This record gives sequence, C-alpha cells and structure tokens, in this order.
Amino acid sequence: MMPTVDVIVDPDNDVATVKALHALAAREPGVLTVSIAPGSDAQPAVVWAILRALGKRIEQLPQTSFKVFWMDAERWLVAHQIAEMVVLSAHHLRGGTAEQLERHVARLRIALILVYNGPAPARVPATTTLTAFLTRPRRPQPPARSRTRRWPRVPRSHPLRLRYDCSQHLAADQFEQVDRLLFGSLSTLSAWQWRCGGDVTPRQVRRALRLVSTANDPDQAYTRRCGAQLALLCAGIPVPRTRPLAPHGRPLTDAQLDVIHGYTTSWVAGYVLAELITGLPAALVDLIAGDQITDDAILGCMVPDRAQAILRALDTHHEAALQGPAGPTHDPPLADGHSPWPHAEQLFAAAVGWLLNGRAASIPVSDTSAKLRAQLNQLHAAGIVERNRGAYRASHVALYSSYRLPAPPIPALTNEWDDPLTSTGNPADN
Amino acid sequence: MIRHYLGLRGAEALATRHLLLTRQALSDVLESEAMGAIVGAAGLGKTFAIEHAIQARAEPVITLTFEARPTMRLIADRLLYALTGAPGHGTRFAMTDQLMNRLSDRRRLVVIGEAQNLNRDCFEYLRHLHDDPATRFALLFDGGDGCWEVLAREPMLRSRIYRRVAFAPLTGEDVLALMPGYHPIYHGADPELLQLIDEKATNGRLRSWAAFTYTAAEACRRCGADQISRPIVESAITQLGAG
Repeated sequence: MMPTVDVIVDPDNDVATVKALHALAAREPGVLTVSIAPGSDAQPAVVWAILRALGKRIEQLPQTSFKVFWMDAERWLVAHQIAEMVVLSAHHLRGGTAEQLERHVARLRIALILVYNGPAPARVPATTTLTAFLTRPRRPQPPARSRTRRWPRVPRSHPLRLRYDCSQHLAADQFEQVDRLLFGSLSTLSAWQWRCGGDVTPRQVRRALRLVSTANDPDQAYTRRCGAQLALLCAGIPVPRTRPLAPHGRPLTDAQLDVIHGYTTSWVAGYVLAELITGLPAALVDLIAGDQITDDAILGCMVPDRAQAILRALDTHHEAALQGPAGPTHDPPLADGHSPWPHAEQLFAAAVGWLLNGRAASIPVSDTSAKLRAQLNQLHAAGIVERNRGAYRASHVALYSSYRLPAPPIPALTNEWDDPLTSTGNPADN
Repeated sequence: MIRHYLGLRGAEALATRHLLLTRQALSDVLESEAMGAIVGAAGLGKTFAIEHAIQARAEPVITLTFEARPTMRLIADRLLYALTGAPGHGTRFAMTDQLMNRLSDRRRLVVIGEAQNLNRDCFEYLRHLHDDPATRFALLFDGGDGCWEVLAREPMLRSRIYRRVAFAPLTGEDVLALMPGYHPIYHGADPELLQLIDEKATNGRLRSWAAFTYTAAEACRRCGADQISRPIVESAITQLGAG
C-alpha cells in the first residue's frame, strides 16, 4: 500500500502549530518534523533540512565538500526508522523539490504531511487538520531488519584448507556466506599491512589479529581468524598465538552522542562512536568490519539506544566499515623493545609464504633444517603441502584456500583426509 | 556607559515610560527566547532605550542594521560574520546550518535595526532560524516610521511578537517632570523655558532634546553660566534653525 500524503493548511503560520509539531516529533521516535527554509528551490536545500532535523550538523561534514544527496537523507531516514515526515513551510518547496520529496519519501514508505502557510494553494487542498493529525493513532515502530546473521558451522580446519573444506561440506549458500567473510577478513588485514608499508612488528600483528578475530558467533570468529591468518601466511609473516579482543564498553554522555549524530557520513559517525565506546586506538578502529557490529553493540560493547540508528546506517560487509573524519589512519610501528620474531617462526613463515606463490614455487627438502622439515611435514600430513621429487610444494587445496586458485581441486584427484568436521588436529587453531 | 546623541556629556538616561517598558520587554523576550518589536518614529529614543536595557543584561547581543533592502543571503552572511568573525562560505543552506548551530550554543539577543527595510523573505528567513527547536535566541525588531505596519502585514509575526513597545514623543507633563534631571543646565530651570524649548525645538523628541542640550550647554560654557536662561535658549533655538 502506498503511503499517504496529507496536507494541513495553517494560513497564519501560527507559532503554536510549529511548536505542537516539533513537540510531536520530540515525543514520537517515528515522527520527524522538517522545517523548509524560504527559497528552497534545489535538492540540497531539502536534503539539508531533512538531515538537520535528524541531528546532522554541517560542522561534521568534510571541510572540502558541503554536498549532500538524496541518498544521504534516505540512508538516515531508514536508520532512524522514520514512519511519518511533517514538512513545515511546505510552500517554500519550489522548482520541483516538492515532487522530488514526495517521490523519495514514498519509496521509503514514509507518510508525508505537508504544512502550507498563507493562502491555501489550489492544487493542494487541506486533507486533514492539525488536531486530527496530532491525535492520529500511532503504531509502535516495527523492529528494524537485524544486522546479525546466523553463521553455518564451519570445520575447524587449518586456515590453508578451510576454504576447500567448506566448499566440500557446506551448502552452496552457506559456503558463499563463509567465503565472503573469509575473504573480507583476509583483505582487511592485507590492506592494513599494505598501509603499514609491509614492515610490521610482532606486537602490531598480534593487536591487529586480535581485532580481526573478534566476533559474537564462534563460527564467525573462527572464519575471521582464518582469513586474517591467511593474509599473514601469504605475506610470509609469522602467525602469533592470541585470543580475540574483548574490549570493555565505555559510557557516553549526551553531548558526545549529539556530536556523533552530527556526522552525515555514516561510516564516520560509526567510527567516532566505535572509538569512544571501545576506547581502542584509531589504527584498530580502522579495522572493524560491518559484521563485527551487531544491532546494539560494536565488538561486544553495548551501544546506547539513542545511538543505535548509527549502527543501522552502517554497511554490513566484511571489510573495514568505518573511517575516521581525517581518513584512514596510519598505524605507526609500536615500540616493541627487543622482541623480534623468533628465528624459527620467521623461517617457517617465510617458507610457507614462498610456497603460496604457486605450484612453481618449491623448497628442496635438502635445503630445510630439521625443525623446518618437521613443521612442513605436519602441513604435508594435513594435505596443505605436497612432497615429491625431493621438494615441498603447496597443494592445490592450499592454493585454492589462499585464493591463489579460482576453483577447488576435484576431490577424486586429491588425497583423502579425515572428515574435517570431526578432526581436532589443527595446528593453527589456538 | 551609553553614548548620548552627538556625544553629549553630563546627560542622564531619563526614566521615561518607554525606556522602562523597553527594559521590561527586552528582559521578557530574552527570558522566553521570543520575538519583540520596538517601534516608533525616528528620534524618540528607541535605540538608546534598547542599548540601555542591554547594559543591564549579561547575554551576548548582536545588532544588525540593514539600511537598504537586504537579501536572505546578506542576512545570513552578516549574522554569521557577527557570530564567528569570519565571512560565511558555501551555499546559503550550508550557511544557515552553521548559523543555527552557532545560535544554539547559548542564549543571546539579536537586534535587527531599521526592520522596516526587510521584505517578506527576510522575515521568513529570520523566523526560520528562530523556529528551529535547537536555536536559543531572542529576536528584537527595532524600527522607525512604518515598521509596525510592515511587521503587522506578516501573519507569521503576529503570533510570534511577544512584546511590543510603541514609542511616542514626550508629553508636556513628561518634559516638565523629567527634563530638569536630564542635564545640569536644566536644574531648577523655569518650566516656561522648558515648554518653550519643547514647543519651538524638540517636540518631545529625545534626539532633538540632546541636540538642543548640546548647543545650549556650549552657549552656557561660553557665557560662564551654569543653567539656561531665556537669551541662551533663544540663541540655541536660532542656531538649530527652529522657531
């Protein structure tokens, strides 16, 4: 059913009418009262009016651009779950802006109430009165579509074969869901490493890995961790043993919430909210992905009701979803003191990173130390590394699982391994 | 200390009925962050009364006077400049948003001088700023001849003007009661002389009284007199081209 467009005519533009409609919006969360400035004959003027009524402030826009578009207004109207929009001084809507407004609002199924002042325009006769509108019964807001998704149970495989195992054991839609998450967390950590210039310290890696591995759901958390580990393995960086992050939520003041609501750009509003509520440094907030934000929490830190509209405005994808007002943050090398990677770990990581370059990359068994050989043999037993003609090579399974091959190898042509859903021998699962 | 017309020294602020009403009106509109209007012909002491009332308040005040027909953009620009010290940039709507934010941070008074020069769009624009639930400012229109007629033509202002003071010239009784306290040269002055001044030179207008007093005080100084006398009054009337 199409939403209605009602017209109220208030010839004298009585201040009591304006106050009553603003009071209604303050009382009813689903009602928004927008005041149109005189001479609003262009799209930005109307979009500004809507954004301002939603609490957005121009000071929180990037200083280089004051441009706003209908999609900004639409994103926030949906996020704030607006069901009725009252437009004061609607006679100031000129040059087709009234029609544009009606079209966009109708698309969002929001009821529109236009309040005209001065003599009633012939083309828009009054359809209701102020009293009738104010006393109209209002339904409670329907619950918003949840950001939280159910995650399929994933095998606790080594990161270098998780993708392959999922492709074999999960239904197509489930595999697609897991694959997107795996790739999202891989690309998040790869992008972070690229921003760091490739030169990252163990402490930095540990911190970033903990952040990317954080999730509410254990299967989601495991997949995220594997994706992040893949990024490290492919870059030849040792994978440290860490636990997911568990930040403690911090309370927010009304003044802080006002400032956060002032941002028109949702990912910037989300960033400032995440920074304040989790207390994490900027370089880590930059890594928070859409799926790590639930309907009411960021990384498990509860967000007050008043700010939950910001969460609804954020993307749900698996890459980094937030960005600071000044753009991506450079993560400076942390002072690690004198704690470089242990030599053996570095050697193993470099070997795996080399093998993941493709089937042409190999390491002669004779060139490996006893310790490295033992580690590579463990990967061989898991079907990640092949050993033939006196050299180690990455298996098709490992190359597919690390996104080096587009399609999974045919199972009949590969060795048989234990059912990964029941397997517990995962060296990287820590 | 408020400057009298022509920089007249030694003059007191007269507690006229209109000055007291203005003080009360300004206080009322500030307390309720409402709109008010101080209207009347030129020279009746409206601006002086407003400045006098402002002196007693702690809130910041912005006074803007538009001599010619202003546009909405000019109003936005001047108001933003007064608030930030920097000219506005971006579209008028971007400036409007900045203005609303600035006008929300604390209670303040905005006085619009020569309000009769504003057109409907400008009144609408000021109303738009004032109606925003976040803004916290009182708006006072200060206007001369025809101002009230202009304000009264705008239906939106009818329900919003909370206090209105209509200035009128001082009556003969006001002159006799108040003028001896206005300046030392009138202390113990003959009421007939005061009536003569009012009839020939000032007509109950405070600005004219200030001009006359400035001239007469200078004559008194030259003659070494402390108070006015008939020859000094007649000389001053002649100098002012009155009579």
